[in-house]
Amino acid sequence: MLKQINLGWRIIAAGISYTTFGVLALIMSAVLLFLVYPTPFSPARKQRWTRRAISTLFWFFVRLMSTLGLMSFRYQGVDKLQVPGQLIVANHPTLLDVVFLLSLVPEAMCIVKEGMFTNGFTRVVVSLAGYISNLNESLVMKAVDAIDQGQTVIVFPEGTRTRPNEPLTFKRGAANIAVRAKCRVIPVLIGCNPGALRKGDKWYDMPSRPSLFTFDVMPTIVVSQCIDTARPPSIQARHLTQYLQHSYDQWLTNIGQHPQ
Amino acid sequence: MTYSKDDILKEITTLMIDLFEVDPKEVTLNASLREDLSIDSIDTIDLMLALKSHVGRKISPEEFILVRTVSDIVDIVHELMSANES
Repeated sequence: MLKQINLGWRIIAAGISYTTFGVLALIMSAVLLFLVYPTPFSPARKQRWTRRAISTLFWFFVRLMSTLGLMSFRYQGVDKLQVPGQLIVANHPTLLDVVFLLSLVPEAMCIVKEGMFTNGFTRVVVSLAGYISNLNESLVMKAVDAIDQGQTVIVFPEGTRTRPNEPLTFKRGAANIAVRAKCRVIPVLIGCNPGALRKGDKWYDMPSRPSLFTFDVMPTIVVSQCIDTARPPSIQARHLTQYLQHSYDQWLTNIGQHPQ
Repeated sequence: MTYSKDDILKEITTLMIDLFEVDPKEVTLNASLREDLSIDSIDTIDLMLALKSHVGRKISPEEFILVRTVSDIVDIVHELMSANES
């Protein structure tokens, strides 16, 4: 009985959260488009403001959902995410991963789905924020430039959320960025138990009890210590991808959350 | 000296093994770069750079934009090398 009430409440709370988020996102987009975009400030400055606005909105959204009892979260070692000019990689079990990470790293550059650039509603925001589309042919070089300028880049090597029971398969973009920017890689291990907002889930599909999201920053990866950096970059990217995937396979198994 | 398309295919196979650790058996004329050999756009740029010394000049990204299969590369390289001859 209590369980049923809790479940009902969570569906209502989810509705409240997403509606609030949608309304705030709409207001934010309008402010950015009509009040920030036309100003004579430099594109770099507008980009920074936009990223901060997105981050603040996400920060609020995370607090709103946890306050309403939809989920809880635990961070470990997230100070390490604040160092500029590095690459952050993470596994991608849920829809909220990027929301949490961008709320933690306000000025980060992010690789987002091409759909965000074609959807009229999100296009303005992701363009102003200077995020890159996953289908952009010069994605790697753009990300490398950003890191060289001291920005932090966030990439999900899985590309998209991995469905439960699917093996983990990493694409090479993240490793290519690290190899070519010669930067450190900060791996974040994301856990979500019980699973929620997975690929294929609907917003009202609620887990049996509120999920606990965990964000553990794992030991920094220094590329030259993991792979042979004398090989051509294309080979290094392949080896680093294998190294990353192997590490995540192990970490996810250790916390009992391997998708397979 | 003129190179036949067979010679060029051999050269490209060697390059692909060095650069991408592909299985030589997989490098056939009909092989799709993306699907069969898992060569993505940034790999293609590396391949273009490596081919530079073979064809004697820089290859522009435009020339490579329509490349889908191994045979497309062989054709481009063959064309550029023939142009060098004349």
